[in-house]
Amino acid sequence: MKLINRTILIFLILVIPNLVHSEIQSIVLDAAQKELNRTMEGLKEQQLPPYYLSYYIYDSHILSIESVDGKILKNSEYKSRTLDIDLRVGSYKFDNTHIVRGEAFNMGGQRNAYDLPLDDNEIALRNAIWFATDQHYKKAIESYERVLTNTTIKVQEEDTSADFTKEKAYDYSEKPKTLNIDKKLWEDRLRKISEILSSEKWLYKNKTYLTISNTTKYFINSEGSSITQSEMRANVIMTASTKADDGMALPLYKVYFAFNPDSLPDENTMLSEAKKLVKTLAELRTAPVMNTYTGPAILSGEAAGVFFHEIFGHRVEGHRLKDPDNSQTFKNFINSKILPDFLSVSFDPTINYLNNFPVSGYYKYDDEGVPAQKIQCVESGVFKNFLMSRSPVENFPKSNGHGRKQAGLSAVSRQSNLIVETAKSVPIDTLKEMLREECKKQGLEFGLLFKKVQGGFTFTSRSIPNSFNVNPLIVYKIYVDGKPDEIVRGVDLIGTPLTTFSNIIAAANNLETFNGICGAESGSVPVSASSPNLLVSRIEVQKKAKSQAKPPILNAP
Amino acid sequence: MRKNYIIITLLFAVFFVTLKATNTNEIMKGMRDEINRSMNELHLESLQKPYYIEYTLKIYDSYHITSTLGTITNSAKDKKAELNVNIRVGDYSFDNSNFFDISLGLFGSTDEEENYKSRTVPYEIDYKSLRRELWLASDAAYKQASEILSKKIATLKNKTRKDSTPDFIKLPPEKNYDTIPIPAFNVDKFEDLCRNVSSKFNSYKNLQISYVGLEYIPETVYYLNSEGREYIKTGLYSGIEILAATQADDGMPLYDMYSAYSKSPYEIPREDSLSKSALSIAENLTLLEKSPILEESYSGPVLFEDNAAAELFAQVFAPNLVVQRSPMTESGVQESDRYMAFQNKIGGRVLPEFLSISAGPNKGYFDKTPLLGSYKIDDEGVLAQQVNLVKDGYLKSLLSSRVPSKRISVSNGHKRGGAAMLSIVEISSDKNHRKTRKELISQMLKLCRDRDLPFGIIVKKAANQNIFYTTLQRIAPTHISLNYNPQAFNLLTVYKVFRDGREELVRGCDANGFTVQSFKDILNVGNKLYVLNLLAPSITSPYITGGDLYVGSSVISPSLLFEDGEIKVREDDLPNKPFLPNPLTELSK
Repeated sequence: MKLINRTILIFLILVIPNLVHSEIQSIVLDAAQKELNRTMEGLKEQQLPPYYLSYYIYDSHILSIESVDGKILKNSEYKSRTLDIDLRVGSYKFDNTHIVRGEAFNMGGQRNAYDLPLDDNEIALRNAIWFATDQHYKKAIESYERVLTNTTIKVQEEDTSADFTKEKAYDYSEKPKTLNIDKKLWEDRLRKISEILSSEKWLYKNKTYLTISNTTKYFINSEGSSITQSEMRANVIMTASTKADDGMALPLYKVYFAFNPDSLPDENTMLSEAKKLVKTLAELRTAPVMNTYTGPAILSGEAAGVFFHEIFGHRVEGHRLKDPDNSQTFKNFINSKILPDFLSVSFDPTINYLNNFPVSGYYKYDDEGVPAQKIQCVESGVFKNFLMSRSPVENFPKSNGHGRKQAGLSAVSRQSNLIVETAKSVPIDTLKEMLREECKKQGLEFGLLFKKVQGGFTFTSRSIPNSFNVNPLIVYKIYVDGKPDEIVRGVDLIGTPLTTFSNIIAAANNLETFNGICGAESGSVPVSASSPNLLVSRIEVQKKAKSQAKPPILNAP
Repeated sequence: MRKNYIIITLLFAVFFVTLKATNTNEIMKGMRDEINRSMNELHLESLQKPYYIEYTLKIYDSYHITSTLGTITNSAKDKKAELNVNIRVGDYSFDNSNFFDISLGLFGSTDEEENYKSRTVPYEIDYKSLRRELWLASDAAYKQASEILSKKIATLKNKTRKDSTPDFIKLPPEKNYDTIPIPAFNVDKFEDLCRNVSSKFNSYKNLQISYVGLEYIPETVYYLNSEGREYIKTGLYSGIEILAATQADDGMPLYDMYSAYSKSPYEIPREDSLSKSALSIAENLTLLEKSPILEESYSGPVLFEDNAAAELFAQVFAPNLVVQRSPMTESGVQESDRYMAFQNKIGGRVLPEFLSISAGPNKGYFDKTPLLGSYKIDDEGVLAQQVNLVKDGYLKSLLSSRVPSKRISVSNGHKRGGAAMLSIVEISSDKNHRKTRKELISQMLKLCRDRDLPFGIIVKKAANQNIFYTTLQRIAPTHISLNYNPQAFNLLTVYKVFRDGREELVRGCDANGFTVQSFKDILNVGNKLYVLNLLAPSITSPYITGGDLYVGSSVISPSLLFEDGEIKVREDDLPNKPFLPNPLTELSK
């Protein structure tokens, strides 16, 4: 009897979790589906019935540990379940989400997250969904009246495409993942890292984070789609900063990203990276301040990735073509050359690894329930395509699976995994030599190497100059006469997109990836940018904003 | 209506987390060593040294559970440590404080400087890491204090200063300790409590939304200043809120709420008592849905009973009983009339002569009801004192901190959450004016007859400001935006009382125009006292002090009969009811 019991027990342990998952899934989805059906049916006799309704439920389990000075600062873990609603009245051609011209911030971004019960209880789930849907429907009716009036009183729109694309129904389901880590092990690891990052008296600030999010996303819509995706993301971010004697704050960081905490690098790798970071900060705090400069530069693969994300990526997000206030840089460049022949640029959300390196802009279905697709935006220097959500623009009537958002906001077209590819490349050292040659040609003593960047921003509105600003953290002067490379500080990389593109003259044979979080009107979404090192014949740098605060008066105790 | 919570039987189930003595010693030594170093060495060449430094380290846990219809919507746990450094440059008579600078005061450090107000520090802090945090925060606090002092001096260069009230009161060294073991929190047990209480709404398909929220925040505070004053104290806060909202047939938003706050989570009322409160909310809303609206605004005698009397006193009168000092700015003294009615009124009559008010923060319970506003040591290490605020109608004193005003030059131990604040404020009356409910109603009806009014008004329940802003606005925004008038005093349960004594529930009205002056017209009070524990909004704006938005307080009040008051009809447009019926209708078939 004992043996039989044990066999049954093992069987149950193996099987029960699956049964539980499938049951849980069905309770949440069933409750949402019942309310969706009831709403579409119950409101069809209204003067303005909804023609489209989607429910997007985020079931999240978030774990976050933060450490400073070798001690734990914060250790939190929570679960949340939120509902986003997209309810549209009118028609695919013209609905309540139509842009209201003359109003600021009307290209998406409306907050509409509602808390749902964490327990899988149909009564409570449906009550919350019903109450939220009713509020949403009332807002939709109000918005529809507003857009109707706005269309009447304003001039004919340049882009007369529909407000929403018709898409096929999709059915897809993944089993929810389980988040289970050894917290104590991670606390110890973070303590050790932050201890290193506070090991020198001139290191004023440091923080090391571990954040793991495990989210199951349930999406259903009135077109018949039902999609359940499960995604786990783990990040370790170490940051430390010091101040130069002139008050300039000098931050550095290192990010590790993985789709599973077990795939993050081991402790020794992280500790040695922390030591490297401290060493670089030591060099930076005594580094000379760089003056304004214009001339040739190499952007490391990571820096070039961010550079392309800012100056190119945000300009190929298709929904911006509908905004009359947007500069619409590439609108008239379809099949025109915008980059050198040897460069191609694509966005590929369908891959989770690139050269064995995890890329965080991966997903199977976008946040509007459309399958992710690889989009070749530039082919051999020629511009081909925009990133599209379900908001169509002239000549781009369909979504290509790039409608993205963070929970609580409305989706717009956003970037995924940006990849810059080159058909013609040279070894890294050769690229450096080419930089020296270019400097000689321009009569300059040195060129610049942008090794690491923090991020950047760009403006795409017509009312302000369409410049970009990339914030470098580690910059070297590369001397023509063969003097050793010299680290410098205090500059931002600036420029305007089209001019800078035309100045790219060569690429190296490497590929580096920057994983980050991109913020725009539909919130923060994970993205990546990968590129080889690029040689640009002329870039411009300007002095970085600098704190006027003195370093601490007293020495560290 | 007074609630006699049963607390004794639950205490056996409480487990305690005790303070680790070693860590306490390390923390106090770290503070002492860094305060000594900073007092001796922290200064920039041409600037003055600090004359006063104060460190406050708060280590706390927080538990937050929310629930609806028998399910959990959120259950979160957090642990944090927060450091506040206060540095004064100048001297007690004239220093960098009591000066508000928009560029420095409002947002704290702005120039990539270290934070020194509510600075998050590691909760597993030890001597070494605390010294490091104190060093960086003190540096930033000193630089900003010096900058503010120079601005303040500059502002007065071309002015003749009329107010010579010192900026800060000097105190001798003193050590005070008030620590108790922190009750451990059984998350599962309290999740079950929330589930069970919130499930009482399951059978009310007429209600649109319902909510139960429970919070527990235990903290240990370590304090040291350069005068040699130090304290260690434990602070506990627990609270449960129950809320439901719906709409009448004409669309009028209706809501009702219940709250119980205490120190220990084991003093929260028992499940059966909370379930009754939830059912009472559900029943009250169901009655309100069908009740008539008040046809036209009413002006006449009004009886505020129990909860409504305590809320009215807490929201309209009590906030004026606290010392407030208008800060100087670059353009002169920034006067505000918010709760400033009594600053220059000491000695004057503020109530009828049969009423008195006192504050007694040392009292832990009233009868058997735990008092949220109780404490022994205030946030400046001053022992909490009993204060006679109003005696026989005349204002005698105000609740004060170490920041003096023209009329109050001593602290009576009332600094909490950033500035002087309410503690436990109690109204008392002489015997002759204490009346039974029947007598109060009878007196009101006589007044109505004299004024030829067909009915009088009894207000039984009023909206709690904290729940209004922090919870109702979040879960049912449509129920607030349309009917909330910040000038009005929001009422939840209002009855007409006809001459024959019949009472009729009415909806759609709020009290209007009640001010501190109105309290002089109180005719009589009830013969029972009602205890209201509340999270009272900070009286001095937290945007100036950098302190808390809400501070746990208690108000003890009898029912109040006003000779004259206005009950105003809400005139907002009414939102449509939901287009579809609540799915509970379908599910309960």
